[in-house]
Parts: sequence; structure tokens; C-alpha cells
Amino acid sequence: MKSFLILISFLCGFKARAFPENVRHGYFSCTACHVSPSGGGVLTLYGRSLSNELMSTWGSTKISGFLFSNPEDESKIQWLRQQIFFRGVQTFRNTPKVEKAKFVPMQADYEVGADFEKFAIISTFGFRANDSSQDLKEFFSRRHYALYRFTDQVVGRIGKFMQSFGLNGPDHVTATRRGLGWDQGSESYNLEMNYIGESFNQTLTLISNSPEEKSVKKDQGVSLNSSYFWKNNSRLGLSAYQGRQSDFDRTVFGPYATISITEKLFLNTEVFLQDKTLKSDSSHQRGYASFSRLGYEAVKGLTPFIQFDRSNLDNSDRNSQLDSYGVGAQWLPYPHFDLMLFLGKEKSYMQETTDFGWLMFNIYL
Amino acid sequence: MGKYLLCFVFIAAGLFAKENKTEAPVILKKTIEIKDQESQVEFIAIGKPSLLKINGKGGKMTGLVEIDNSLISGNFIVPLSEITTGVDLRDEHMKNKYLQTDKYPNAELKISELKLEKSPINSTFVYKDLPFKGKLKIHDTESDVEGLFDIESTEKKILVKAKTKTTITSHKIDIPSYIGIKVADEVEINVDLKIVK
Repeated sequence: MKSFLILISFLCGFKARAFPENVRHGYFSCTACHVSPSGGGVLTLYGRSLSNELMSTWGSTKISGFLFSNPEDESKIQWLRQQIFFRGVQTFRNTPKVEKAKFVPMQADYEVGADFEKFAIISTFGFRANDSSQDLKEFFSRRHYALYRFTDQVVGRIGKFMQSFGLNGPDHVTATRRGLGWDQGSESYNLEMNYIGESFNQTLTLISNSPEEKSVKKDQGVSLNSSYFWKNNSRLGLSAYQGRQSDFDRTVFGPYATISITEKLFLNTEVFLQDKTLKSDSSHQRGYASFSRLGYEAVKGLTPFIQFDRSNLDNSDRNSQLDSYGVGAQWLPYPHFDLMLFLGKEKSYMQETTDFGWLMFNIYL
Repeated sequence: MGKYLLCFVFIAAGLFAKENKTEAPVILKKTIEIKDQESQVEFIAIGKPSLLKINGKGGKMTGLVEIDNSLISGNFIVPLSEITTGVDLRDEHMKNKYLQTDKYPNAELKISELKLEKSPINSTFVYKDLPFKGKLKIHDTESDVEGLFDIESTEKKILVKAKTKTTITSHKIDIPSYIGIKVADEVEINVDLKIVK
């Protein structure tokens, strides 16, 4: 039961969708589609159009007016950005001790903001679970920020949001997010500067504890995320973080990549090394976390994939080793509707292999 | 002594004959037709402010290449309706609203008197980053273009990779824009061409 609840808490960590693999189509920077320079969250008008044109199986110009207004409609308020996010997941887990399925509501957020040529202000308002019932009943703001575009290339941002690190993918359940303590819900108050170039992107983030959070498991430090646009269809990057929490200091760094193997076949991968110094006895825990997903866009909007995660965050302790692998598929049947199915196995040192699966839906209107 | 003198005369005659052979003028002139399956034409445009790269692919080139010893010239045509960018709506805007391919279906490129060190007809070689100049006509408006090309001449074919830039406004085309994304004026054009000797 405990492992089941842990799994659920892991699954509650999906970032509002962002699709780093769109680099295959020339979208090296996230800002064509998202107001946020690191992607995710409320879409620009162009992003709304692209979810229809590029990403959905049944998306086409003929249905662009359905459920979301025509982006070319000049009568609407051009600076207003708003979006509603609903997410939930049906989970299944089979261990030698428990076999259980459960539906978990994950997110009910309204994100709204004003986006002008030079600056934008964005905030979410929604509900989250604050106890084991998993009911979304505590009102809160998942993220809120103001950004200023100094030039087309230089964008500054301040507020509460996830730091830019690695692939910046939507899956916070992976070893490189969950394993390193960067699930959704760990959004912090940050000051961020972005350089968005034709071939290079750089993001420097100063990370502070959130004054509204009681949890001590919050980072305070600095991170740098750099990436290079390779062959006009792939991204190669390096990320580094130096910071501390209440009971340890740590450095995390490593490479990541989205590689277009063919027009339809892509690999998202990242490997981060962590060196953690415990404040209690100054001892070191050195290890790594990795995530790899090989996806193939079989038809427009439908991407089956295989995935492998491995983490071993303390080389001196074999119990810290965890492997997770499986097959899945992501399907965007219609603009702004997103389904993801994953069936996998999880194996930690000296433990029985566990089967698990989940079906997640994501609606962002 | 007479024998030796005779041998010398024969040898000298032979050498002289060989010398004459290399100096004889050889006409290395040929006109070659380019078929569309032997070429790839693509463009890369930048969308601002997010600096997205719009990659137009699938263009095919037809035309004639004239090789006169080491001088090369050519006239090429690229049907614009075959180029796609991966997004249907963007293609529709590109072709109908901006390039107006129903009225101006082709891009035309003229290259004249490109000078190489050797004739590609009877030589094999590889040259990189050679400059070229030409005239590019799109949207019924001609502009001067210049760029660089790599050329590899093998026994049976000539492989060319050329890169040039043009501007949208120089062809009297409105700058494309769509809900907050505006295309930069300068566009890069890449051509891969295989010429069978």
C-alpha cells in the first residue's frame, strides 16, 4: 500500500505539457508556443494553433474554432492568455503483496495572464491535494511570474516556477526529476535570465526557498542550462546546479539531448551526476540518475515509445539503485486533449520486480 | 654508330609525338540536362521572436548545365509548390498568400561563367567553399545572389552542394507573419545536385 501511495505521489508530478521533441520541427526554443521561456503552461496564440496543426491526429484548420477560438480572430483580446488544465491518472500496480487500481485527480488549474510585446504576467489558480485522500481541495497557485523581454534574445523572469534544467520535459516522475527531488510541487521562487539564440540557448536561474512553503525540502542555489541546436532538428545540452537544502549541499550536472534519428524517430535522454554532502557528518553521497525515451511518431499525434530510467544516487549503497522500464504511447487525438499510457516494471536492489501501469489524461482548454 | 643514331631518332620522334599529343586542343564542352530526381532544394527561414527554424524541404531542380572546359553555367527551375515546411497551414499561407504559386509557380536560378581550375568532364577533384554569383527570380522579381559551393567531380558524376541567401523583400513578397511570429527577411537556400556526366 505504501509503495502504491508513493507511486501515486510520483504520478502527480506532471508538468503542464511541454514537448521538447518538437525541436524536430525547428522549435528549438519553447517561446514560440509557451509564454514561459522554459516551456509548459499557458500557450501563446501560435502555440494554440500549432497544437492543432502539428500535434493532433484530427487537428486541422477546419476545426480550429472548436473548443478554442480561432487564433486569427482579431476581435478577441490579443494580450489575454488563459487556459484551463485538468489532469488525472488511472493507476495500476501489482506487487507480491498488493494488486490495486485507482483513479487519481491530479490537477485542476486555471492559468491566466497578460502578455504584451515586452512583458507578461502569468499566474495559475487551482487546487491541490494536501493529505493522503488525494482530493484536490487546497487552493493554491502552482506558479506565478512576471517576465520582461529586453530584446528578442534576452528574457528575464521572476516569480514561482520550475527551474530550467535538462530536457525540461513534462514527466516529473522520471529518475532525473523525481529521483533528484524536482517533482512538480517543488516550484521555487526564482530569478531567471534567458538568452535565446538561433543556435544556442542559455538559462541562468537563481533559486530561492519559497516563503509560503513549510517544507524544508526546497532548493536554494543556482542553475545553468545550456543547449545547442544541432542539424536544425536536434538539441544537445548541458545542465549544472549548485545548491543546498536544509540537511545537505549538492552539485548536479550532466548532459541531455533530443536527437532526431529520422523525421519520426527521436530519442530524449539525460544523465545527471549528483555529489551530495550531508551536513550532519560531511560525508559524500555520489551517484547518478538517467532517463531515456525512444519515441516514434507512427501517425500524426500518436507516438509509441520505450523508456528506461535508472538511478543510483549513492554509489556506496546498492539499495539506492532503482531501474524502471517499459513501453508506452502518447496520443493527442484532438487539439488540447492528451492521453498517455505506460506499462512498466520497476526493480530495486534485492527487491521483487513490480509491475505497474498508468493511463493519464490531460485536457488544456 | 648508324644503329645508335637511328635509335636516337626513333626515340626522339616518339617523345616529340607524345608531346604533340598532350598539346593538341581537346574540346571539353557538354550540355547536361538536370532531372528533378537528382536534386534537393531546401530553405531555412527564421521565425521571430522565438527564433524557430522553418525548414522548407522537398524542392526539386530541373534545368541545363553547360560545361565549357573549366567554365560552368546553368539555368535551373524549382517548382515552388513542391516545397513543404511540415505544417499544412503554414504551407498554405506560404504558397497562396506569400509566394502566390498559382501566378508564379517557379523559382529560377541563372549561374554564368563559374570558373574552375580543371574541367569536370575529364578530371576528378574536390573543391570546397568556392564562391559563385547568380540571378534568382522568385515571385517574378529577380535579385542578385551570391554564395558558396562544394564540388566533387568523380569518374561518372559531379556532386554539388551550394548555399546562398536571399531576402524576402528583394522579391517583392510581403514578410510572412502569423499570430505573433514574424519571419526574418533573410532566407538561407541550400541545394544538393547530382550531375551525371
